[in-house]
Amino acid sequence: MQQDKRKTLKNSSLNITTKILQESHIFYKHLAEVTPEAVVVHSEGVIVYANDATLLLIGTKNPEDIIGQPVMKFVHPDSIPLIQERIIKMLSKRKVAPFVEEKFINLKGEIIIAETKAVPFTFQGKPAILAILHDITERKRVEQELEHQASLVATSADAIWSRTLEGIITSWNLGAERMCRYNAKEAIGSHNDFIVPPDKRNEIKALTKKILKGEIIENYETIRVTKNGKNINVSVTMSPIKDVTGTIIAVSVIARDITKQKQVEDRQLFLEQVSTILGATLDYKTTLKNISKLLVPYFADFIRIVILDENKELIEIATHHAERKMLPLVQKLYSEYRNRTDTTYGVERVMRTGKPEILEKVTHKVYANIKNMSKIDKIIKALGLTSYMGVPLKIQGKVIGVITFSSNKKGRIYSQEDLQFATEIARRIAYAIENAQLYMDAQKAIILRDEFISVASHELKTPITSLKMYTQTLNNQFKKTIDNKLHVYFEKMDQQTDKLSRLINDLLNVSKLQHGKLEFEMEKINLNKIIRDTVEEIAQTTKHTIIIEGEVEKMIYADPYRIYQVVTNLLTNAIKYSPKANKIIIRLTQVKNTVVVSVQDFGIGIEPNDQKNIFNQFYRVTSPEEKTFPGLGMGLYISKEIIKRHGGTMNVISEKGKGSQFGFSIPYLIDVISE
Amino acid sequence: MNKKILVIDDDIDILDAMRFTLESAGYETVTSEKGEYAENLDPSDYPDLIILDMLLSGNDGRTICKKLKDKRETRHIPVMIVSAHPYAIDSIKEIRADDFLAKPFEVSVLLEKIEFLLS
Repeated sequence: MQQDKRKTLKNSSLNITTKILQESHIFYKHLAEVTPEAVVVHSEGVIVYANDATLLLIGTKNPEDIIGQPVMKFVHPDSIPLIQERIIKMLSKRKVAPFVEEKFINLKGEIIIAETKAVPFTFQGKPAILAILHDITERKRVEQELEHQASLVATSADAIWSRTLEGIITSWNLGAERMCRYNAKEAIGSHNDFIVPPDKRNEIKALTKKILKGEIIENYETIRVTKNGKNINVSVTMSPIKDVTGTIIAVSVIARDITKQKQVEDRQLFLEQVSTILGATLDYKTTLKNISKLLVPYFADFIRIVILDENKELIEIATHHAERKMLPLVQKLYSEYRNRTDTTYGVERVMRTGKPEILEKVTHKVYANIKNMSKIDKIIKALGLTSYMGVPLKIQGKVIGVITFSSNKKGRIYSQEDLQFATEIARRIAYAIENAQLYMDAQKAIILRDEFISVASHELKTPITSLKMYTQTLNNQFKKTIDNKLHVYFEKMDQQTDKLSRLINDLLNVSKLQHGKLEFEMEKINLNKIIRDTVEEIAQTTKHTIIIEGEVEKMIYADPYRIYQVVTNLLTNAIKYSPKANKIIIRLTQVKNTVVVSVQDFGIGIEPNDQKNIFNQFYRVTSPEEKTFPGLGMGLYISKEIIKRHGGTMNVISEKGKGSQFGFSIPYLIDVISE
Repeated sequence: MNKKILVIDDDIDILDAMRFTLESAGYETVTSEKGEYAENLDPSDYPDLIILDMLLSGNDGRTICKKLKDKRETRHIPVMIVSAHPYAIDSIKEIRADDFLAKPFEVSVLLEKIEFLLS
């Protein structure tokens, strides 16, 4: 009984212990379940327990994906040796393994970085290890990103710095060192005025105000100054830096050196300007003087342009110095260099070699071995010549002149790029000179041609005059003495002579018209009489009946002889191109404020395509069936030009096979009432 | 008595044609290539009319005309200028010539003008 009681007691105490133990087990298990850290137990290399946090970490909801799986399945190969070593140590020395960073792999194959602490443990009588994993993957990623960004800033080719609102530099990257030539030590802690030219300091204040409003200044083009005093063109982007509360406390600046780009743009613009000046006039001597003024001081402090004249002698076209008072000195230097063969640089040499030359730094050595060296040395020193370039002006491979560019500033040291630019300028100038010369040659040829035509036509008129006298006198005599038809042939001879005479006149007129040299004797006239007289004269030479329709009241201001010429041209054309018709109508009307004369024939007509060109100089309709109509193609051109000189216009209406109507209109005089 | 006409032109072919034409029309014709001929006329043998080419080589026709018109003895002789230059007519008044004829011309016109000047 007692035994039973004891047994019962023992049993109940055991029960209590078991219960407590059970409760404690549940408690700890629950504790393990709810802890946000991943808790894993593995024994003999196999996972025997994993809490919810572990499931989450590994990326599953199903414990079976983990429980019973080999522990190493979830360890990243990088961490396998370390973990194996730690397991062996723990199991042999029964010691807690401290926190270490280890890499794992989740079920998606993603890398997980965790700080792991492990303790040796007995699970179901077997040695086991309980590990707690603290996931630091995200923290690591952010750290890496920050590191990456920092290295990006540090190594960026762009200059990046930050400054306080007051302007004190707080960071300064490698790009900033390279661009501004100050190192971080020199820059950080200093006021940013050291890189801002004095005239740009107010600009910075204004920009800072904008930044304080939260604005970002993007790609703002301005100027900064480097440690060696050189101004550089920069494009800056400035943004506000805020503290945790959102207050703007500083400014970040990203700056890019755009000096080169600016220079390229600038020079392109400059070249365009050069071309504009060159294209303005064909008087290239004036043009080159203007160009030299453009080049100084933009590209040189003094400049000289020389070219070969007609006698192959070098002549000075333009010499220019930024300071007028220095000009005599420049000229003195040039005269010293003139006609020398012992110089290593200069106009004479460029003329000889035809090659561009550059002397980046002018030193005494360059001219040490030439005659009158001391004199030249004095002038060069007085001018302060520091850098020099000479480029040839070439036309079709032949050197026709030279441009020299000289600098007297330390800041302007010519480079190969500058030489290229100078060569481009020279190329354009040479091209302009060539154009001007070609134009002048063409002008000379035209003048010669016109002189020739003028002389030739005068010379041709003389034999025509005597020819006409013989023909007409002979005709008169034969008419009186012999009764035969010989006089008909004399008349034909006379008509042919007249035709020759008209052709000569046309040639002369065309040449005069082109230069506005055709004389006009303008007077107030009424067209009615001129038309009647001309028709009467022409009617005698043709079988066509010429009908005059209408009259005009208004007077015009015109040269009666020239109007007669035009009307004659229109009528003879009408006759010529309507061989099968027997009628021509000439109409006079007033339309708007003009008097209009039109001549209509019923002949072969003109194709639309030919109508467009028919008033052009020397244009002739060419088609097989029209071979029978000779002419030089001058008549309508002369007529059109004459009418144009009267402020009028000419036109044509025509249909192939039906005939043509040529007309002209001339404004009449408004304030004069008719005769 | 036939009227006498003096023709001055530096082109000998023109002179030949003039002589043929004028003689055919019944005029006594004297010709010269030199302008000076008109300046040194024999007062007992003045022509009734002078036909003068305007642009003579050597002495300009215009100068000769002016001289003739300046001289009291020759002022009365009609001078007709001929020229291949159509606008030579512009200077007719200035040199006080009596008429002008552009080359080439119609013989009928030449004869009409001569007849008028001689009447």
